Amino acid sequence: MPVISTRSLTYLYSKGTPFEVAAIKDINIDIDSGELVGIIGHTGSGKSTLIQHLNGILKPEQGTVLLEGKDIWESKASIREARFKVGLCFQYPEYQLFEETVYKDIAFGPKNMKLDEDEIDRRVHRAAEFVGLKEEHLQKSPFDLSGGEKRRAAIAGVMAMEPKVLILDEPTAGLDPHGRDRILRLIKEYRSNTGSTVLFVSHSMEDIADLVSKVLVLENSRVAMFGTVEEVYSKREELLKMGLNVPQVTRIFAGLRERGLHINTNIFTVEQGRQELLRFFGKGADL
Amino acid sequence: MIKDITIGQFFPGDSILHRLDARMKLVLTFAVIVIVFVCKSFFSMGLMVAFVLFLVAVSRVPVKTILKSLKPIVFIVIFTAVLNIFYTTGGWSVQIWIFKITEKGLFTALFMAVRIICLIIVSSLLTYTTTPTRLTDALERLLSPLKIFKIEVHTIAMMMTLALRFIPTLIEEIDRIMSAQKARGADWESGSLVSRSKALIPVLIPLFVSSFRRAYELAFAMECRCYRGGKGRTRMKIMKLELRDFAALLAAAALLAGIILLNIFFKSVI
Amino acid sequence: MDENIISFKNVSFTYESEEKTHIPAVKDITLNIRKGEFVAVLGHNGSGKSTLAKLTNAILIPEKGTVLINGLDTSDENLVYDIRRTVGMVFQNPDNQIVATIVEDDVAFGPENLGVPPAEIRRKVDEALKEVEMYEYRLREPHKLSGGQKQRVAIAGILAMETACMVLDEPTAMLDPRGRVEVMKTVMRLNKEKGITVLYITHFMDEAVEADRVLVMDNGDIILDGSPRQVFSQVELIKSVGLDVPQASELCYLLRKDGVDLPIDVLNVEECIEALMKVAKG
Repeated sequence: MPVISTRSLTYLYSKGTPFEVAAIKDINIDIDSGELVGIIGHTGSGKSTLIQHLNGILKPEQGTVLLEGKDIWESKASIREARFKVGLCFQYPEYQLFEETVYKDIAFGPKNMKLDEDEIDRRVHRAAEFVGLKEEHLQKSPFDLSGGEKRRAAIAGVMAMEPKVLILDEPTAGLDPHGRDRILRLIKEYRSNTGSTVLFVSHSMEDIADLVSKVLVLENSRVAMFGTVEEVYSKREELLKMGLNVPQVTRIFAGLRERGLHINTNIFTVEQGRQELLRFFGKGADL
Repeated sequence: MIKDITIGQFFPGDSILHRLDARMKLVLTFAVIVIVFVCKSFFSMGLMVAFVLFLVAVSRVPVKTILKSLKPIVFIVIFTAVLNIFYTTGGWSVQIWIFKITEKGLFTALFMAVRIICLIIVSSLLTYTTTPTRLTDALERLLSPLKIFKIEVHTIAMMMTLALRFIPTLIEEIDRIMSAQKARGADWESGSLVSRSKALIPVLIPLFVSSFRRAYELAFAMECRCYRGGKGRTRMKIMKLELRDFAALLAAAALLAGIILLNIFFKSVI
Repeated sequence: MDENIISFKNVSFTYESEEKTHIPAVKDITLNIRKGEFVAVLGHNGSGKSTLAKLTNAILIPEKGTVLINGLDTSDENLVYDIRRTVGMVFQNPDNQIVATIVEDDVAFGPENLGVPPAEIRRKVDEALKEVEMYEYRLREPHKLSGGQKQRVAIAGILAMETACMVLDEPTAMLDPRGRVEVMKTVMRLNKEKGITVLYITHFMDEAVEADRVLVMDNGDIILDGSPRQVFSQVELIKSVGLDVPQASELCYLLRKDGVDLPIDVLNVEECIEALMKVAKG
């Protein structure tokens, strides 16, 4: 059974006014437990709206959201449960920090879950460790941290709820390459350590290729594609029509194939590219 | 969607009221409101009501919208009317159960009700036909003579403009912060008044912090564009009085004259 | 008259941090930027690139050394006004630089501050909005615009002031890919067509690649200064300071290390394909 699914999920903005527009329309997806899914699409394609339905922040106009088979809107209790079982981290999460100390801020979620002190303490420390924050950071005011540290503290705040499904909305937005790499590594490690399902929204086809098992492409409020990286990225023409592009390496190999080289074009990362070319040039790579 | 919020009640249109100079409108609105209280007889009040209806027609703002602006004050009107019925005495009277209703009381109540309604309609017409930006501009220019009393008119106007500019942005931000805290289990709907007020802290603190940072950055950006306060500043949009503005002034003067005449020649009712 | 519009002579600047430990943000920088150049400054967060930008228009004054803008010394308080008429700045946060309730009023803000006559302001505002392709949005409220549109309005605001030079401090950091392309295209066109000198701070190498000249900063020093081709061929160095190179450059770099004979200055997909085809054909 998939850990989270949607059935005919639809949401309208400005309902009943002349400005009514479908933010998402008839979305049907199934996410299996333990998957790492990348969500891609233009601004306005419905990404943010979709993920805000998964933890019950937004209520569907039509359709259902199922968490472990149950409709999250069944009762007040089930919504509350969804809130904590599906952890949503918004864009620029550092702007939500407010407590006196980083420790207290990370503890905010677990506290709202009404856990006892020891359990909260354990979770805060575990989350802090995941994001690479040390004891001295925990005692500081969140406003005294650097930009990158603030972001990691905010992510820790969501991780501390130990959700079954962790969703991150553009976790690398506004970060420089070093910061971005750090966050992506963090996501990878978190998932392999906890076995949680992770969804993350990104604008970068390159970032996603290296990391995820499945890719969900949204276009014009609907699901355009949902499959493995190979399945999605090989549809170059379609992606281009949507104004999305495949990674540079993929384009390079497509170009080589067009020029007549009998070369594998299922290449999505630089490392894959290198291996394939070494094989092709007969240099016998260390596979 | 939050993004669709428009500040004030501006109703886009191209009527003559929309096109009047904002300063004239501001001054005349004030004048008409005063004139409303000058009416003492049925006929002068009748002229006033006719004038107001004329303005509504000319503005081309739908009647439904005007009625919407009256909704919030229905209670006040009724309350004031009732108060006046029982506390103003004079002329013939009628006894209903323990209440004594007098002629003067009835008329005063009626006049009060009509006055309040006229007042609200006239001020609503101002905001329906003038954008908040133009209003702030008009206010700045009208108050600029106060500079001689060392009042920083420009600075006050600049603050008002910045407030108008950022209200929608701040509303969006509050929405974002609330969603983020909700996602961590914040709850403003259940619990005692105390706990719900405490639950505002995770929203207010990030809001204040980001607002201070915003103000800091904004100040820099303004200085980088050579902002030095009101000294030596020109304006792209010049406010010029046209023929129609003088016509409006004349109309208001005629209204006042008419009302005074009607007050003199017809019995004062209240 | 010097053809250098921006001149840094041995400039140092340190921020005072809370713990009173002085971390130099910019160390002994000497730099000359000629009129009409498009210079990109690359660096990771904390490399000093934003500080560099703020030193060009007297937001920050050098601790040591001098910054001259068209010959004017930024440390002279009396010249700040004139300096800011020469160097206009676009900031990272699109919202926190727009002051008016409608687009055209915001673009007019700069000229109004300069005391330009009303009719002329109107002309300049309309021209500027047309240059950034936002003329149809002139009566719109800013909060209804996308990030890319807001930044173009900010750029129009600087254009209307007719500054000779435009400094953009990470203007696309908070934008989506579409917005980034909008801004980059606009700035490049203004540089080519109107000869405005551009100093463009960024950490995106796909933007730096389009400049005439690229400076790479690390720890307050300029460690590389040259054409995009020259700079991006230094793959090791760039990666060691926490920056990216285009995937095409990186692929060729790795293959060269494996012994494949490829040029060192491959910058994009086309060049990479060409180079690889040459090798394949033997």
